Amino acid sequence: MTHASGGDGTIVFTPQWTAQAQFAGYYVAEARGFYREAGVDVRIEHPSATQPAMSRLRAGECHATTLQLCQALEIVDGNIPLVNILQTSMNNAMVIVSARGKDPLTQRGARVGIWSVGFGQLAICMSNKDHLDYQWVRFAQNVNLFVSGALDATLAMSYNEYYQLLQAGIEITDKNVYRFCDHGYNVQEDGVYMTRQYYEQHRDQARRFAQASRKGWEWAAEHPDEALDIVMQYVNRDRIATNRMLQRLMLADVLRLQVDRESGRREFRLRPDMVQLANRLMHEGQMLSREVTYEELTDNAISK
Amino acid sequence: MNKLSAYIRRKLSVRVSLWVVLFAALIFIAALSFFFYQAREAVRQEAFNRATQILDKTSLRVEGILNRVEVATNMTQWLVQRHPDKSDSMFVYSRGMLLNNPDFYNCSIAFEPYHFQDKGRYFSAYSRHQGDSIRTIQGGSDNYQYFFMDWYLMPTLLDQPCWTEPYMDFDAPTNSYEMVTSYCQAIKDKTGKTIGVINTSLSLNWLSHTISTVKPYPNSYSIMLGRGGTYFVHPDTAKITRQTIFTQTLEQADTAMTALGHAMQRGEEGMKQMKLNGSDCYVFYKPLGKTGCSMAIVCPESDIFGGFDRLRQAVMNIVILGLLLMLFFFIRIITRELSPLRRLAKEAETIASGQFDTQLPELQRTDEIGQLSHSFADMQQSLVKYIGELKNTTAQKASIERDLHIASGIQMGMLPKNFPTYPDRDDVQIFASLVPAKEVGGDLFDFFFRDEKLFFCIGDVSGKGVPASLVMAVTRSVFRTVSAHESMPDNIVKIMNQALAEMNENNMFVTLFVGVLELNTGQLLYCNAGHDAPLLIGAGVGELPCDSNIPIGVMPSWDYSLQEAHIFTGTTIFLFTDGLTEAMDADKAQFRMERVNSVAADALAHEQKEPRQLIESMSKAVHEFVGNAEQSDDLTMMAIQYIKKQDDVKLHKTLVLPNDTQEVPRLNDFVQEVCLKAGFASDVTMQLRLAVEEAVVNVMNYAYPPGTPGNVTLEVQTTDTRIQFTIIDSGVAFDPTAIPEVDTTLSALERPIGGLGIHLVRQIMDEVRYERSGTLNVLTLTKIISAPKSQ
Amino acid sequence: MKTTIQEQDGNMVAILEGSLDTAAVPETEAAMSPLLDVAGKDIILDCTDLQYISSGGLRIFLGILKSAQAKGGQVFITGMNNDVRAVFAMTGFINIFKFK
Repeated sequence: MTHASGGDGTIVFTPQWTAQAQFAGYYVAEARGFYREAGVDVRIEHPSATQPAMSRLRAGECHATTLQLCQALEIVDGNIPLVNILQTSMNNAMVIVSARGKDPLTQRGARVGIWSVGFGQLAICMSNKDHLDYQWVRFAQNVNLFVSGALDATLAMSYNEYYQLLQAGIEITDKNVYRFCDHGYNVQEDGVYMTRQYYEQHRDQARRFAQASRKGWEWAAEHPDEALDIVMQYVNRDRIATNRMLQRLMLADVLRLQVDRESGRREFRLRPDMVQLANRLMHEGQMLSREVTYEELTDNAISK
Repeated sequence: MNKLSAYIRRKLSVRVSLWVVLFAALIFIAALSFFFYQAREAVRQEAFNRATQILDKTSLRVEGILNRVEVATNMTQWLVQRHPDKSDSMFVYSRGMLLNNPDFYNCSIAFEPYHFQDKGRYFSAYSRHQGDSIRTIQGGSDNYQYFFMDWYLMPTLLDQPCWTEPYMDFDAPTNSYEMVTSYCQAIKDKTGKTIGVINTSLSLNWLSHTISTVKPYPNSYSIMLGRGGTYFVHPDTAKITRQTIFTQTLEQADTAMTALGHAMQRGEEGMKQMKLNGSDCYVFYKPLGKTGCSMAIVCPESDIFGGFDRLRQAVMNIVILGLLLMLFFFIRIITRELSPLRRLAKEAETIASGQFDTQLPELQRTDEIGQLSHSFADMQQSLVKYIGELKNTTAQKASIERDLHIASGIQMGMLPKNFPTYPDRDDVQIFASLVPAKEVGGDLFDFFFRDEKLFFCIGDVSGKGVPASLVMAVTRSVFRTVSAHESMPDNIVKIMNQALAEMNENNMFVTLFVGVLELNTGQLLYCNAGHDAPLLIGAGVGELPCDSNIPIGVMPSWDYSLQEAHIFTGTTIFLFTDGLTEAMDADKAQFRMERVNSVAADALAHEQKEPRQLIESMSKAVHEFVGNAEQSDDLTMMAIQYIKKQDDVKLHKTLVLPNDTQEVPRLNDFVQEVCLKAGFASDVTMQLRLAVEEAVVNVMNYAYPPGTPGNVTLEVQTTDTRIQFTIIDSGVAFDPTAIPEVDTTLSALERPIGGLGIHLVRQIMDEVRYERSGTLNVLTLTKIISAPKSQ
Repeated sequence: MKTTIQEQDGNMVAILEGSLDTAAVPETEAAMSPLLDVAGKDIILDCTDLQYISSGGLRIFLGILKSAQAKGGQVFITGMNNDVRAVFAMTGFINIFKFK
């Protein structure tokens, strides 16, 4: 592991995808100067199709990234210790959308699209557990395969691909959607992770970075329209092929997912029970070789 | 609004013009509507054809090129398949593809992981134009894991070659983006297993340029959608690759847009009419080959129909303007045509106001207005003529009326005007009134004094008006002429009759009553010729007994009878014509004799029997009776009251006896006493006694029904010259003077028993007169005393 | 009025005294009724004292005359004064009676 190329104070943060409202809080924190106020120097660099976020983290080209919990478990299981410095998502956003209005649970052996970058662990668990024997087709980044009719179903994020499918004229009803969060798979997703090594060397910065990011999220929750404007600035700068409508929908859903189901509040914390659940599911699905504990992912100082 | 409708009602020109314009407008509307509708359809059809043609043309061009890509890729795939082991050849092939097709963008021949074991996991022969040369590299790496790319997965998943969705390709060396679409075909080995994929890309820049310049109409634009509905060509470049046709519908449902998107996604070809950005548009769409893309041309209706609508508007404006002008001019023309009518109307008013000589306007027209004008002129001339005649007639009538008025004066002048009253005269009072029904009438009355006699007459010429008045005049003059020398009424009447009958060619006749009253004695001689019997109003109201004879002028040789009566002092003779008794009220009821009698009786009861009073009472009664009805006949009344006291009455005594002959001695004593007082000689006295007894006994015996008690009243008056006994009873009407004379020459045997009494009375008395006065018998016996107190 | 009937010289004589007016007619007529039964004798009516006679009296005289003539007798009137005679003259009775 090489150290980041940036100066000691700069945290290079690479969100797991290209610029979109999924990372609104960070944009807000940057644009509104929360990071500056907090005294951290943050540089947001997005991944490219050829350079995914995780490889950047592994290569030390960034110091922090966002990961889904299951992803993090896998990575930690793969011997790269990670620390969750900020958990934003409190709910699971993954869904299966079937073609031709079919119920996903009825499509045994169907060709189901899955992200090639490493999301969808729970789907694999579910396919195995329920003996659906999905044929997973790994796609790079969009819904074109599904839209072209090459797939029987596809995984989608409720805040992202779901709306892309709608925008592509796909008819989605309750009949052809399977929501993981409603079927006992409500495992949190997005959180900000650093390598343990980096974290332990930059605890204070990490903490400030996390707090400022959280502040950014809270501000975005209270000012969604202005947050959207900020998001569109980043989107347009990077010439991302999306539009304000999708971003608005995405922002709304991401903010919704940050509200814990049980407490009804934005908790911004990793839930031990969800960690345990993910562990159990993935272990059953033979995706983890060992249990990755809650303590492994956290540092008590942050998660308080 | 009411004023407007009133105005329209008033003006014929406006009404007619409005009707004409209305019909014209209806025709225009019908014709133009039909025409516009058809024309619009034609324009629409034309637009359709045009858009469709352009679409077809563009589509053909695109497909042409797409075809080349497909063919080239197929060829290369075949080549690869023949030598699937020669990894280095792949570079040649991919490079060769681009060499042969300079307009292709890039070409990749990529293989399954570890297909060429010596090449590692990734092997992709990638060629791309770069300026004038072609860059050929190995394209797969950890950073570019092509296995998950659309172009790699799709042909295998779909089990057929296909086109990918367009995407922006970033070329790092040149740091540029290009929109491309790839045609990918699976490379299969002999077993049919996929070993790789050939992917040939085509830049869409030229395509989007071609499509975006498709502009059949100034404001129309073209779009191109990918399989997912993404805009790849759009006039708003911000939308390209970023938005889909469904993006806006996520926020606000738009069924038309959604339907269009789905139709295009399904690769359908057609036309949809929808509202885009608030304006109506026609969207013509057609798929582009097998790419899954679809292009559409959006033509705003305003463009298609813009010219047409403008034309239509212009035509409508012209029509409306024309109609308005038409209305305006028609009103003027009709008004002008009708102006003679207005002039005529004005002239008519002038004529109506009395000026018949106004000059009517000269019109040369021969149409209806001209005819009207001529008729009007004719009417005016007739009017003038008739009015003139009417004026003449009226003048004549006025002249005749004047003449009649004068005649009336003359006629009235013929009637006596000085009515003697007491004390001017001490013997008679006379009053008369004559009211003709018309200006002149046929009634007459006359009186004059001659030789201590009053000559009077009353008459009624048959008919009324001028003829009757002429006969009246003649009658009156003849009366005067004849009675100037003739004193006997019957003779007077006879002569008048002869005179009148001679000249009576028209059969006019005159009822006439002529009387001669001896003023000293009250003796009345009279002759009645068909006239109403006069009333005597004295002790009671009674009718003077008249022979009716016949009116004069009818038969020249009629023998008229002479009658006589004694008029007691104070008695009024009331003469009248049938204008009195036949006076009619509004219901044609007549006044009748009964009423005359009752008025007379009333006047008598109220002591109003003097002529003027009587006639006034009668006039009043008649006027009240007649009321408002028109006078039907001449009304003439004459009243003559004899007021001469017969010398001084020396003695006046009255005796009332019951009708019992045993009372005769008392009667005789009474008479004896009176005669003694009067100084009569005994023989005279005895005779008077006898006469009175006989007369009274007669009354006692016959006046009252047998067994009925009744009274007999004896009045005695003496004057120097005579003595008068009046015997009055209220029994049955009995005229003793009507008993025929006794024949005293008969022998004893032949002599009847009765009748002697009256004979004696007649012999003894100088005058025996009977009068039925109302309900009373009045018998008057008069003896003249030639020398008083003779022996 | 007084009426006396007596026989004289073989004649019936009626002596009339007073006024023979209508009132006296009934009694006089009754008194003279015997004369109506006389037959073969002449009747003499003595009117010397007759002052007055009315038509009723004349009727009585006429009755007597008619009755006597029917029986063949004659009637003579005596002593009539001028007034009564005038009455007889007026009525023509003077022509049908004989006077002595």
